[in-house]
Amino acid sequence: MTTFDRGDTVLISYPDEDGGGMHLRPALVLHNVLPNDSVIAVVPITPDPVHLSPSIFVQEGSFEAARLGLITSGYLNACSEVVVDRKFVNRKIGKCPWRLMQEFLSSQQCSNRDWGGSGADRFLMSHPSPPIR
Amino acid sequence: MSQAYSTAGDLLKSAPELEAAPLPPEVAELAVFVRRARSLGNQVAFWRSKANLSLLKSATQAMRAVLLSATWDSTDDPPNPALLGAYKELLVNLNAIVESIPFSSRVGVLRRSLIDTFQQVFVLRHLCQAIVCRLRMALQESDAPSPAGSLLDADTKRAHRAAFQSVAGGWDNQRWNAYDYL
Repeated sequence: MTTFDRGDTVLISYPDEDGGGMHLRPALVLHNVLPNDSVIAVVPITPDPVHLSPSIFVQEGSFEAARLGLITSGYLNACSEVVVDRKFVNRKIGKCPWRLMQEFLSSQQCSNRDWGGSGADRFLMSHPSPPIR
Repeated sequence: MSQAYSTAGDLLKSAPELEAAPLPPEVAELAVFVRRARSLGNQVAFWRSKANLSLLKSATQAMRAVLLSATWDSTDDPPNPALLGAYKELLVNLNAIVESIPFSSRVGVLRRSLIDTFQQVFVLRHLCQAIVCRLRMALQESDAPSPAGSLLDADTKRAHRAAFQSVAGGWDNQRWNAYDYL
């Protein structure tokens, strides 16, 4: 099976609104993925910025978009990582340029500080486990 | 003048027999240039030429303008299929050139003098790819690969969609279906 590195851009299969068909959408890989890993942590690259998350705009036709493999303008949104099953990953289409990745990671760190943890931490804080009786 | 030192102007002058593609003038000029340049793609001196670099830069601006002003997917008029054919041919030639530019020396050292050229060709190839995808989507070209959605049950799809719901703003945008044709 293929490995993915942090900073790779991949295409993710995403169901349309009525659930009938699937479409491909770009996402940024956040952690290295080994051949035996069954899940992959990604940040969706979206046409609109995500509310309350720092976002980096990538203009279509720019060198950064070319490196990322993006054929549309899009936003890299910090702090919105999603862990998905590997079967939804279609293929790698590009690689985030080093400088842009550093900018993204630092904005993600700032966002984590503001929110008091990573996305997963926030999920755990808002869904505390029930007390043991 | 040796063949290795040919400039964009020399190449264009020596290509009268090539028929005009239905492309904007600067892109058509690029198409003629890359067809001829394929045979010289491994010559470092050729790619160092400032004339060639300026041609690539103006073609990049023209292609960017085409991409940003494209309305193929928002109008009822389907684009000319010959236009798609012309961009596909350009893409094949640009792919060949990207592969053949000797960006690194034999010992693996980057040739600084070729960085600008490589960036221009890389962006040009990508712009061409984006235009091809948008045209294929507008023409509903049927050989787009299916993302195998039919193999998954409805609950799996719903759960997968829900995971992205709050963070994937605008992923339902129809314009982004161009990625299905990448």
